[in-house]
Amino acid sequence: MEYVLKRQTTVPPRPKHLPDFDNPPVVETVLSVQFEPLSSVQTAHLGLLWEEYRTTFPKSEDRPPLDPVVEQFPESPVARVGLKFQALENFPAPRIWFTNDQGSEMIQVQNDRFIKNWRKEGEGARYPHYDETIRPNFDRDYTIFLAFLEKNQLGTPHVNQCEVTYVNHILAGQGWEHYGDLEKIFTFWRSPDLVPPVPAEDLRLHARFVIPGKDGKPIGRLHVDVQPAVRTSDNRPMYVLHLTARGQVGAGVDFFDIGREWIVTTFKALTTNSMHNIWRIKNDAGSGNR
Amino acid sequence: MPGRVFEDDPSIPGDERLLRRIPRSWIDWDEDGTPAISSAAFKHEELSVNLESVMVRDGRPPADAIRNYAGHGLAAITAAHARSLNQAVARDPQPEEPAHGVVYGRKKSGGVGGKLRDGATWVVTPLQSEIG
Amino acid sequence: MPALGTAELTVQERGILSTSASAVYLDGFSRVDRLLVSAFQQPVPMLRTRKYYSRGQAYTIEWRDHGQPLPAWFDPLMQGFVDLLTLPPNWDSYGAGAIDPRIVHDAMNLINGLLGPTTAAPRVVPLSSGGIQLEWRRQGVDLEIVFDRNEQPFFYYRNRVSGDESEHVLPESSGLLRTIIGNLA
Repeated sequence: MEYVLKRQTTVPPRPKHLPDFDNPPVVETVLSVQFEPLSSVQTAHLGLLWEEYRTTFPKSEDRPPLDPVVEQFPESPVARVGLKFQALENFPAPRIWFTNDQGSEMIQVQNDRFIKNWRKEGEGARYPHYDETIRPNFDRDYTIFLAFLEKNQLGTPHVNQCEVTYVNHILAGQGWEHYGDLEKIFTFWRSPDLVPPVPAEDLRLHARFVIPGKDGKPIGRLHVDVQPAVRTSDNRPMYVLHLTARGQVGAGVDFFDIGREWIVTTFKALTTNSMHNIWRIKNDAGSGNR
Repeated sequence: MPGRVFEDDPSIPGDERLLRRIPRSWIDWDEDGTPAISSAAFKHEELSVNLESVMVRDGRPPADAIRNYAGHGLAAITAAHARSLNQAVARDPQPEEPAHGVVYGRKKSGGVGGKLRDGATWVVTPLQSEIG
Repeated sequence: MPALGTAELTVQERGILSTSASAVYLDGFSRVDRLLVSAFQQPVPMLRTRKYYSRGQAYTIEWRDHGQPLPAWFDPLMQGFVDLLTLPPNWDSYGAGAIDPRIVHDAMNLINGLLGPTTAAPRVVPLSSGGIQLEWRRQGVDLEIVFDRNEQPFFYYRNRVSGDESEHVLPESSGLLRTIIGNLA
């Protein structure tokens, strides 16, 4: 907990090598920390916890709990998804959402997870940046959570996995028009030489990359998901580009910075220069945040 | 009775056999039907046993310790073995069991329960097919 | 071991490439702003149940997954837990009480994250104090995980061949325990 407090008082400089955009297509960012279940935490405690955040997050909702997920190395072909047993007379501990009035920030809590979501408020809005806003605010709210656990003797979280997610809505009408215009958006797509030549109608992709640690051993994975979609407000076509980095280093949340770096650099590598110009890329080695 | 503290009784010789009833929950049968005892059988801090010498004095065979416990086995450890694992061995006669004794000391950690188990021998071997 | 009566849902024979690939995404805001048009949707976890019988009592265990085949340890382990929960008073003949169901529940959820698809099932044994022990004795290795009232869970490891012996508290040493379990043949 002392480490988290220290981080709160300083804003580390943005790594200079990270690409930066003035108007990236990111619409939501998520930081999640998963820990060994705190069996003492009950629904009533989550209600009490809300009091700690209520001024900033006055809305709450119940949700079904999330299953635990841990990146495995090596990985077996038929893997289990976190079996979470709700045997006998015990009811599953819920997940609670605490949301701010604007609907732009959210805390999700269950007895083995603490998650923060940020949303870009409207198309013209400036997105909160990782180094200035997202990470410090996570640390602030996570510290409150830890203090609450300690005050109520509910245990100390032993972190076993961290997760960073960036969600991008790449809207049609900015550099591309049809789902088949893949080469205008993504660097990894090349139209196959079909006879007669027929463009792809659309693309769905899931790619994974192993994230190595300093010693070369795997510490996590980057998951890249591309899917065609439409914006519900106006049926405007889009590609949803999900990037999730999940893993663990040490006993805390150090993986967040590593995951974010992988996401940002991979996002740039997967998308074309023409889209970068539309998103107003800054000097890759320059300052600023994404 | 939880919470009691027992001192070692030096009048109990090292070769005294301490008899412990083993319910089926603590027995694992291998493919050949050989029963193995779980260390859990020897993890209670106040471990109840029967002192064989007292039973012999009263004209009772060792198997009398499981007379009313169908399906149970009966295992023995020596007092010396228990003491080698920093346990106190004490007499604790009860109205319903004059041969009752206690092997007293922390057993859950340090592998003590398993090491006590390792020194155990069957006195009455349970049958896998027996109902209990 | 008594015959199992199951009320299991139909198992789908889909192979899931990775646990994490089928994990639910955490975006709670932006998903309401879009409608996926691809027919290829992210798999949704499904609720599954299974019944286990012991000493005339039935217990139902629920969990969520994607319908994949269950590992070989699943049934023996669950049956072991249920067998403990149905132990009568004085089961050890020395006045032991019932096994604490909360301890069983905690043990279930802790062990869930530690067993791989091909891990050998541990034996589930009761403690006279009301706690439980999960144990393996394989190829010279003794591994015991102890859950008891008013105590932090811990595990004890002994390698009879090398002589190595150690004890570690949980969940702090979960990573080490996972490795040890993974090395059990």
